[in-house]
Amino acid sequence: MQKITIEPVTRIEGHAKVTIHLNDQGKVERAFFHVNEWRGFEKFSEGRPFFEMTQITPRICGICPVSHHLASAKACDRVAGVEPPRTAKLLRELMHMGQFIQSHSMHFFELAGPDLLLGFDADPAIRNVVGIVQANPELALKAVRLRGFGQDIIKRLGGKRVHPVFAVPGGVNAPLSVKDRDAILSQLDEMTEVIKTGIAIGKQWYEANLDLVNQFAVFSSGYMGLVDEEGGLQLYDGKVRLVDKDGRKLEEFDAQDYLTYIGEHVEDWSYLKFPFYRKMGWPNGTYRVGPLGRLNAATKINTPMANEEFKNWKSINGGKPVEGTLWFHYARLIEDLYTIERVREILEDPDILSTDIVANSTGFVGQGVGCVEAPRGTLFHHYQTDANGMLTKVNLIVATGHNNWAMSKSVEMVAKAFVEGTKLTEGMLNRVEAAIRAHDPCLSCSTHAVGAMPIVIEMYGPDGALVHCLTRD
Amino acid sequence: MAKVKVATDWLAACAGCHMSVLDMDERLVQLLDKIELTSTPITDLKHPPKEGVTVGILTGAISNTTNIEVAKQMRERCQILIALGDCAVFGGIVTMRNFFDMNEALKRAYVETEGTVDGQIPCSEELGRPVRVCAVNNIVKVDIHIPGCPPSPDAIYYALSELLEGRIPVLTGDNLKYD
Amino acid sequence: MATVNIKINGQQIQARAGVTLLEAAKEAGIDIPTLCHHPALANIGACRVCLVEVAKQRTLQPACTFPISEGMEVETESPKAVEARKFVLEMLFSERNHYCMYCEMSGDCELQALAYRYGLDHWTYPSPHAKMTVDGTRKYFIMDHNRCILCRRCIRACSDLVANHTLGVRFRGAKTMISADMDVPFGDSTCVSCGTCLQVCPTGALVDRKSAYMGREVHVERTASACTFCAVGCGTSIVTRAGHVLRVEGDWDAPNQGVLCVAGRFEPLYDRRERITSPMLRKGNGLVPVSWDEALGAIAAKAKGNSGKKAAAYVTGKALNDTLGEFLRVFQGKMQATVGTVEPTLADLDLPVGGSLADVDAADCILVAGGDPLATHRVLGYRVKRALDKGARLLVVTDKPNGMLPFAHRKFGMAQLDEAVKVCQGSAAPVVIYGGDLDKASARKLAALAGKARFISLFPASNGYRARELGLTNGFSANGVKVLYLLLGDEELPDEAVKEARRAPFLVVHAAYKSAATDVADVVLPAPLWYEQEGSFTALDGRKVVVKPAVAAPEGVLAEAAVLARLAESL
Repeated sequence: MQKITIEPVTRIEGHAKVTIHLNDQGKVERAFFHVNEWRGFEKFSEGRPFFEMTQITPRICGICPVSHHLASAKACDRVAGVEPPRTAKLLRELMHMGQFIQSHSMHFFELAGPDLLLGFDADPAIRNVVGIVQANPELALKAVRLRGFGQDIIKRLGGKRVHPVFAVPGGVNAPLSVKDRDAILSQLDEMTEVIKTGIAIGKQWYEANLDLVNQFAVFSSGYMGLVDEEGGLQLYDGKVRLVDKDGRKLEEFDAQDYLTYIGEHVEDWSYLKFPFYRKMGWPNGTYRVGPLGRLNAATKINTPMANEEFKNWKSINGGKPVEGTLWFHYARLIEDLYTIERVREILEDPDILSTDIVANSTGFVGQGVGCVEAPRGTLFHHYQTDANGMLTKVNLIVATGHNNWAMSKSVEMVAKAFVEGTKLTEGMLNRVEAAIRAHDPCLSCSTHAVGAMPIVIEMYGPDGALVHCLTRD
Repeated sequence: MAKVKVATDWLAACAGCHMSVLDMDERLVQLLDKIELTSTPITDLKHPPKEGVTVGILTGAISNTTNIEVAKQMRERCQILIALGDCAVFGGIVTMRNFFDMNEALKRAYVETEGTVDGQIPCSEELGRPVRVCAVNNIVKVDIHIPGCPPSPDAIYYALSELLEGRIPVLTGDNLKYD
Repeated sequence: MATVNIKINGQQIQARAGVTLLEAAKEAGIDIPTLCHHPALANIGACRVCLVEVAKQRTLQPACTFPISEGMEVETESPKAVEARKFVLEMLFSERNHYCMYCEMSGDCELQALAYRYGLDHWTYPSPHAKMTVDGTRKYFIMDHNRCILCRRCIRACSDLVANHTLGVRFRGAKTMISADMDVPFGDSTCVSCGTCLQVCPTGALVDRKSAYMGREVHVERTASACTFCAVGCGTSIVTRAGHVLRVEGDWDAPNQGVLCVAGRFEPLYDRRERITSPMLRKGNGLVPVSWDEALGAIAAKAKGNSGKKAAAYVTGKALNDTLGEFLRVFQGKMQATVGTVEPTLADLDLPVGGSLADVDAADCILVAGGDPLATHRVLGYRVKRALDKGARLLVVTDKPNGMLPFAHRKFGMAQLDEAVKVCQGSAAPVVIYGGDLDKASARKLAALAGKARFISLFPASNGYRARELGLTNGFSANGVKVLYLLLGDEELPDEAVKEARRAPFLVVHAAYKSAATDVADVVLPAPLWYEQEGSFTALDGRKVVVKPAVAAPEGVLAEAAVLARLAESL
């Protein structure tokens, strides 16, 4: 049997590697998506004061540090037995929206965009954000500004673009100033237009590439995401909704009870664990999260423009969950629109400038789960402490982890559909990477456990000898 | 004038340093007039070109055997090596793993964690083997250190601009931060 | 004043004789970096950061301990000194585990600031990454040995400022660890949680739980004020951000010399009682929020025809001077009501007052009778212990358990007070500290020392001194009283007193927090908290202590004196 290795997988966040095993005829037999690093946050956090986790865990991921910051703060709220005031929750959500804008926009324009705008088979030397800058400088600058706008919201609240210091157990450490509110508001119209441009580009691409989309890793699964009481999409807080492959509600549970519903499976070929729905067991209980998972789980979106797009979304598969992996990009753009609409709602809230931003503990609990929707999916932080608030156990289930099975599945499907061992091209392999990229995996997050993720492509002959190694240098 | 070739890569890192590179915003676009990004995590070339680059940038700590290979290759193929961010410069937060026995930490992560069902410690030969975590300069010679978690976009811009002017950057004031 | 001529960095300086090089440089405006040095603590030259090059000295010398002498020539930033300093800093970073990125102190850390100043963009020596303990066994703050640089400021604060002697080191060299008592967890030790060590720690080794990550020095505001939780009158710096009190620190320049106690530094920030934020009037069975006009109108209506003996008003001895003044003007002046304080003012003992912390410092014999400063006026108690360390003798007269007893050179029962007085008479500079457990007969015996000793009264309330001056005494009774006004501030009444108060047909309670007394009141008026008040009180040594608002009171909560003035108008 022959084996192809893609290492590192590029334009994803973190270190991954794909191995593709070929039979004697050069046909793909199996493909694996390996997460190749392990960093050990769960272990080395033990013994630290619980409240430090709001600063330790963002270092799991520099792209979605705010998600970790907030999931951690929510877990800390529980540990400390304190309910943040309304303004604090709104400000946390505002920061979270900033992060979605930067992360989703960066993913569309800078990471996945090159495939969509320049083509899967474009020269790898220019198939990147620089290529976009050269091909369409105006669009590229808009994209840069949009990402910067999202980061700027984070900085205005937490002092830094990456790894801000803002949320604390019971709330946040600073109110929003009138100056900052107005500065953010003044850019909203322009930024909304950039997102709409992105949506238009996306739609154009889908129209032109519908055949590819329909044969590119289309498969059924469960879907998970946070929703409000009416099933509306939520990103900062809500109930965890899990639906089956037909969109039927399986569960809608409080994140505190996540262990009742979610189990984690381990494979010896990846440092990233495989979460699944316990009641259906492994591997039947696998599901997808992130933009595709969330939009398939939600009933509606609570902001007008995004909800219009959401209606289109629901029509893609006749009201049933959307299954094609490449539809992740559309879902991400719809969420991008939602988050910018939500920024306006939050900024126009009459309570937003209040200084009632942090509450006092009413009684120490010593245990708690914090859950938010990170850009890449549902994120759980679970802390247990001793009576003094020193951590005794930490369990993290990260967004990308939930999609681990789906990424492996996509890799295998795309490899089988597009990779021809006898006449291997770089573009074939790029499609395999694109299958991973569509999920926008955050492998830094995934490897919090102790580790990171690169891709190489190597082909091994039936005797196990390396027959072909495809790298791009 | 020919563009200055730059390659970047990440080791055991959170990607925050690369985010900070992107956080130069428009200034990054301007820099692209003067520099050519070869292999980076946001581009598709997987390794620094064999003919070499002028500036190599590594973020993240050395935490496994793969990291060591990547660091050595970068060192061989660049003239000036920059360690960017606390993890690359000092070893950073990941060195907290060193406090624990490796197997104990792996066991916690892959066997004992609350949600794990029938856990096992991943050991496929496809995976890098964890090593004692250290800074990049413990493995290869580093020419320029830019600490910070992450370093500010201003610090990165300053350092690259100085290099483009042919000067070795010296970080002072707000450009030199550990947090 | 004898002077010495020295040259620092080429600058000719005339310095006071007998000072250290560091002091001489500082007075001349030359900044020599330091780390283990703290202005309030004795210098020990432990960290070697202040090493400077002194001409004709074989090696670099620590400026903090090196005495100046005539003709001395010094270079503070010579290449040799700078190199040594950087080496010291690198060693400090490498010795333990410094993770600035998530450290609470990052941005305000003195070690970090020095590393920035000397441009340390990396550390040469790899850390051994030895796992260190994080001791979280104390309620208010945490000790993280990973970030400890062994500067021993905490030990010196604990010993030299607070005289508590909990902290020390165990082992030597690289194994040295700060430890409590015989190496027990801090929470199980003799630590009194005064927090002075926390205030002097240069790094994030000691972390305040309450203010962690709430903002760095550049984000916060500081208000110089005073602690109102006992009569010592400690100077404070109240640290706030966006209207939230983050922590309280001791004022180094006030008589308390930076020291506070758990009751002033930590406990008030953990008060979880429910705040009253609006005037309330009993309507039917419940209290309903009403306007100030309505509440004050209701009181005025009842007050009419109930002046003189039919009215009584009691105020907490914590009330500020303005409040006490207005209180007397309204109730004594306008209404001729019976007035008094909620707490005793010790006026009935008829003993001198006014002794100060400085008197304690100068004392050779301290007599404590009928009170326990370590329980009620802790900073005074610490000061007594400090005097003992310097050789003063302690006599404790009590029939009850008393925190001072373990430190007493002689212990007496109340019946043996005469004997203690006699011992005291033989000393040169005696100080008498007395409290409310003294009866009048004993007080008369103690009065024998009046001409000789300085007397410090352990007033049960912070402004007891002023209340006593104003002739207020306690003696709480609702007998024959038709209208009773209680101004409690943040104090609560014991259940029996509440019962007594409720005997009055019309009860007004003016207080900051909900309590048994406000629950049964007919009118409740909100009062501001300690950090919202402006004014002054008179500490136990007769000193006027200024209290400043660090945070505005919630809307609808008015200053006590202002409320009383409005009440006076409506009468």
